[in-house]
Amino acid sequence: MSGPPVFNLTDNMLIPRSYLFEVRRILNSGGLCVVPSDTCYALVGIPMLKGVGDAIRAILDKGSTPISVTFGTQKLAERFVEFNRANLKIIDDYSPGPLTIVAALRADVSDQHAKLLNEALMNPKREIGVRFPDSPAELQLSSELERPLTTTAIMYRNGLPVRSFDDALDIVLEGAARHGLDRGICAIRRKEAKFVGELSTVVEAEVNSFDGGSKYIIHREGDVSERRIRRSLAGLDRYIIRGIDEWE
Amino acid sequence: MSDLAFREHAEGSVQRIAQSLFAFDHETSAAQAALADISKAQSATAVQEQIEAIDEILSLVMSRESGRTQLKRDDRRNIEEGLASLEDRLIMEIEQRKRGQRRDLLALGGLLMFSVVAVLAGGVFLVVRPAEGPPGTVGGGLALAAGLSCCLIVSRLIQNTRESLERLDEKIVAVRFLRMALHPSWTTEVGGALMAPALVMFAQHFAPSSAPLGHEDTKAVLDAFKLR
Repeated sequence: MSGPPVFNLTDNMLIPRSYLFEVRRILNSGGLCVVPSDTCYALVGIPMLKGVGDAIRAILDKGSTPISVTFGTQKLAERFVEFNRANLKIIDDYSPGPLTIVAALRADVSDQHAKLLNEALMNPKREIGVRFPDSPAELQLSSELERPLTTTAIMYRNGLPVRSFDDALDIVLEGAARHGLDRGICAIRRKEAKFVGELSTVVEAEVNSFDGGSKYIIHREGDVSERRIRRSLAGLDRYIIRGIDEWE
Repeated sequence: MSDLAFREHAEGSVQRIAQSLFAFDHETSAAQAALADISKAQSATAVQEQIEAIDEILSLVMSRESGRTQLKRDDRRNIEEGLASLEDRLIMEIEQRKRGQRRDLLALGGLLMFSVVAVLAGGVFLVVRPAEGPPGTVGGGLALAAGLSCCLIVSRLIQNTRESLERLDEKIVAVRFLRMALHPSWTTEVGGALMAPALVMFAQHFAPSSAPLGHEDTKAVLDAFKLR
């Protein structure tokens, strides 16, 4: 039995056109792709397709944890979300990189679509976790497909991020088989997997429209420390720490 | 493209539409109906028409998925910008009027002082020069009456001008209120709490039964007194 299609990246780390066509076909038909991300291998899919979010959560045993999405460019992200001043400051300071910004969906995204997207990504509110990764493959895929993509980190059972390509693919295939998921799966292998840090930091920042001060929630503290976020937002008048929650 | 290839293309498109969270139910139904019609179609043109209909729906759904449809601005944003422009224009106009009315107030203040002096002079004339007989008394009385009338008229003018200035301020507040009410931040808990007293203030205001004195009226009165 032949395995899933595996595409090997060359040194420039961009996905060649010949691979891109196939990856696009698989993702567009609701399939998934193992892609090298900033800190480890991640599972990529188009969240706007039925069942993709559920499949990712099932394969990676993520339970009801919200899933963040990657955008190839800030402009593409701004079609879906509205960044406030605090968000833009953090983006300027730490993106692209291991950082997820929880931002409100634009007012003109219809309620019906926002609800379905929230259900697919398990977002508690009308907002999504936005990432601008430093991984060329992820950015390229999102830009080429002109879609936000899920980039859920693949983890070992002990919670450590998976940096071995073979392990990442095994975990995904085994998870898909365990749940009887019949979805197209492909994988992109980076020649020399150079991952940095541990995990992305998930932050939600708000600006108070009355006094101009900002407040933030660190949902998950990763490579970008809370101290750096605080320093980044210190330019805004004042800040308040609201708490620490979980977010994928 | 052969008939089979056409059909496969159409099936793929319909499947893609049905798979999308961003497809409306009516779009999925329309695409499925068009696919069913392809089987019944008698001519190549009819098949082509159905395929085009499916492709059009798919294109709409894909646009929505990539956020392109969101680029069309919503009504709220258009209204907000319209009000912002109105606010700028209105404030410019009102500020100009207010400057004119403040000048009027100063002039009316001068006129009031002049009237008070006339009243005092009339009073003094009546008290100090009673020996001059009826013509003096009548003259003094007339001066006193004219001065008092002038005082009352000017006081009323000042009061009306002040009311008019308040109205102009209220107009600015009203436009700002509308603009802020349209801003999405007011739908938040904090925004709502701050908006509530503003709404009460906005809704409870009522205009007096008579229209306040306009800037033009004041100007006409002052012109009549040749004080401008």
